[in-house]
Amino acid sequence: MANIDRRIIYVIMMLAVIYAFIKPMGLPITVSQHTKTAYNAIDALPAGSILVLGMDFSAGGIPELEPAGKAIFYQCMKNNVRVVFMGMWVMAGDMAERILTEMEPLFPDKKYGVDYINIGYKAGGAPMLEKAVDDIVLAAVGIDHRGNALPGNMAIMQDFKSLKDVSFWVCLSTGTPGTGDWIRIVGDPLKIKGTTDIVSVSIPEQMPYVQSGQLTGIIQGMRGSAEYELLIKRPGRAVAGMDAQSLTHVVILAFILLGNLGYLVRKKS
Amino acid sequence: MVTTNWWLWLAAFFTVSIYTVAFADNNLFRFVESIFVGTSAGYMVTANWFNYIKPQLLNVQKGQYVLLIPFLIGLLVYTRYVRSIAWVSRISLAFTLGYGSGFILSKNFRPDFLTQVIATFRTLDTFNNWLLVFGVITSLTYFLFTVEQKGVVGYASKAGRWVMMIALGAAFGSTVMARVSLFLGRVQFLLTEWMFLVK
Repeated sequence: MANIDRRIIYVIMMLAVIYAFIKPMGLPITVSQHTKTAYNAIDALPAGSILVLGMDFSAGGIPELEPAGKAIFYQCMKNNVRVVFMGMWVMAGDMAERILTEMEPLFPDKKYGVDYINIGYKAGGAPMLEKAVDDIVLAAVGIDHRGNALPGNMAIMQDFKSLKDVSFWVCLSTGTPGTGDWIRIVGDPLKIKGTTDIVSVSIPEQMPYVQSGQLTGIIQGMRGSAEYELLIKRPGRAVAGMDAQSLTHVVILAFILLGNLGYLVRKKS
Repeated sequence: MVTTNWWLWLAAFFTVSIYTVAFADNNLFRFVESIFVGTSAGYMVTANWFNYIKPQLLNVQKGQYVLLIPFLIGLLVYTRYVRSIAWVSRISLAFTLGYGSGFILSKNFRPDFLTQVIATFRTLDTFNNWLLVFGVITSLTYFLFTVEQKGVVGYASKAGRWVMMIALGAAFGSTVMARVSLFLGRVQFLLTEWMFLVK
């Protein structure tokens, strides 16, 4: 038992995942207080205010972060809150476009440049964010992800001259640069509240910021995304993935137990 | 029923090929891995060109000549290829390191240290608060290297080690969850978008 071929483990894991997707068990998902806190803060934003979605992730973060990104955008459009997509990661602009491709048809009355904008990726990491605190057009080098000149004649840019004009920020993050930079440069110095949707691997690293109140709640990986989808009453990919995740964890636990049992038996003999 | 969109076929091919390494190292995996690395590098160069470098060069063309200064400092890095003047490349590195250190020191101290320390001063009226203060004190005690680790300090140090081990366990659990999520994302793609087996 202590020497099970890893390939057997992989096959069993794969079968468990495929089974859970094809035959969903509908395991209950309870919404955590952290996700609820983030949701309530965004829901309380007055119509017309501006929320920034920091797209600080690349393709690897899609399964965990994109569902919550879509849900937050959906919530904002429903509440007439304007959304600005921007990011310090090179795929930021394209990640935002993936969300917009699915969401734009749902809100035909919402217009690009009026209700939302995709500034996209801008190089420089934290210093770029610092520059955006003073002047967003300078930080964005005068161009958005779709190639439009900034500020141009886009209505949203009349009210969004710098990050000081933002009411709330959400950083969808898989690492550095990411949430920490948003806290250090926007959240703490400007006293602008914000939260993060973070990949599971980084949750323990971000929890002290939640304890200290520097983050208003936290959306934790695919699980947090699933909770957010439930809160906006629009179950999507994250909710669909929860059965598979639970079943996979059961398989991993079973193998940990088996491995330890095998180790103990071998030690005794 | 499988999609007829050949882009999705390509994505499915790459996904399955990458996962073949779980069973044994093979040429198909290496081929796909090389394409992935090359594509990522190309993507990065293109994104930086269109989102940053080209617009900045246009700004120079419009008369913002001050932008040429960082541009020239950046170019100095390439003097590394000429041995006799390779030392010049240190200027741009020194500039980057100096700016980076100053930036981090000025930005990180309050949010990452002061606010975090203040956040541990809690009213001991709930179990969670007790647990937090206990964890902080015992973990810090573990790192008291100038005091002999015996008696009360020894017990606190041992408790601190347990606290850190539990924290590391939680971190490892989160890591496993993250890796599983990545796998789920790809399986979800194969079953939903490629094979239409799941709606």
